[in-house]
Amino acid sequence: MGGRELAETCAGLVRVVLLRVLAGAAFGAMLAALLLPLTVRAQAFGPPDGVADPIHWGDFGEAELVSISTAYPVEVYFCTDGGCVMVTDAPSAPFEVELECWAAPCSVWVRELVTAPPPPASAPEEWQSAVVLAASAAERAASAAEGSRAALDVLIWAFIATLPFAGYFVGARDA
Amino acid sequence: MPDLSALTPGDVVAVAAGVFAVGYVAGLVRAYLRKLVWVA
Repeated sequence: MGGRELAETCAGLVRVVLLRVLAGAAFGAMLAALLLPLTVRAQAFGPPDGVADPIHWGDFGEAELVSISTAYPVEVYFCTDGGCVMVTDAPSAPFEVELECWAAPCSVWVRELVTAPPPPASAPEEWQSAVVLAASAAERAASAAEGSRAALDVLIWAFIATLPFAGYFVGARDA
Repeated sequence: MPDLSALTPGDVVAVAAGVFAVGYVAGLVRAYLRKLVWVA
């Protein structure tokens, strides 16, 4: 085998390896693009620490009025990607609280405190403070999650940006 | 850069598959054109 043939063989091998690597990267990128948002979404809806038996939970987006009717005092947790915060501790029941989700998905968890004393008939001041607390806590959680989400977005878009080149080489090989 | 949180996972996969397909077709077309030129 001459020097020229040897060089061509080596170049062909390198080309094949590069194509395989690019095709694998493209497949991995698509898999990551599929799985990463799902992972983030799943973490957002996990039960908060210390809440063993939530009687109600649900997801919501943007501003939404959450109404909870129960005969007993409850603990309400508001969760985002950044974690969970207790919105209000043992308010009067039934009650309504307005929660605004700055960075969807958000979720709300409610635990009934059956051992606590019965609530008074009404306590609007406590509800109002609960709304303010929920707003500031949600804002902090959203700002904390914003940085990590932006980095994740850059990573996923960088993967996607490699896909046309990977497709180009695979297409040229298949022709 | 579009916000990924505004897209569903299905949308992201669709975008990824779309850009890969565009590149794939471009590679195919270029390879066939080169073969045509050689034949001519």
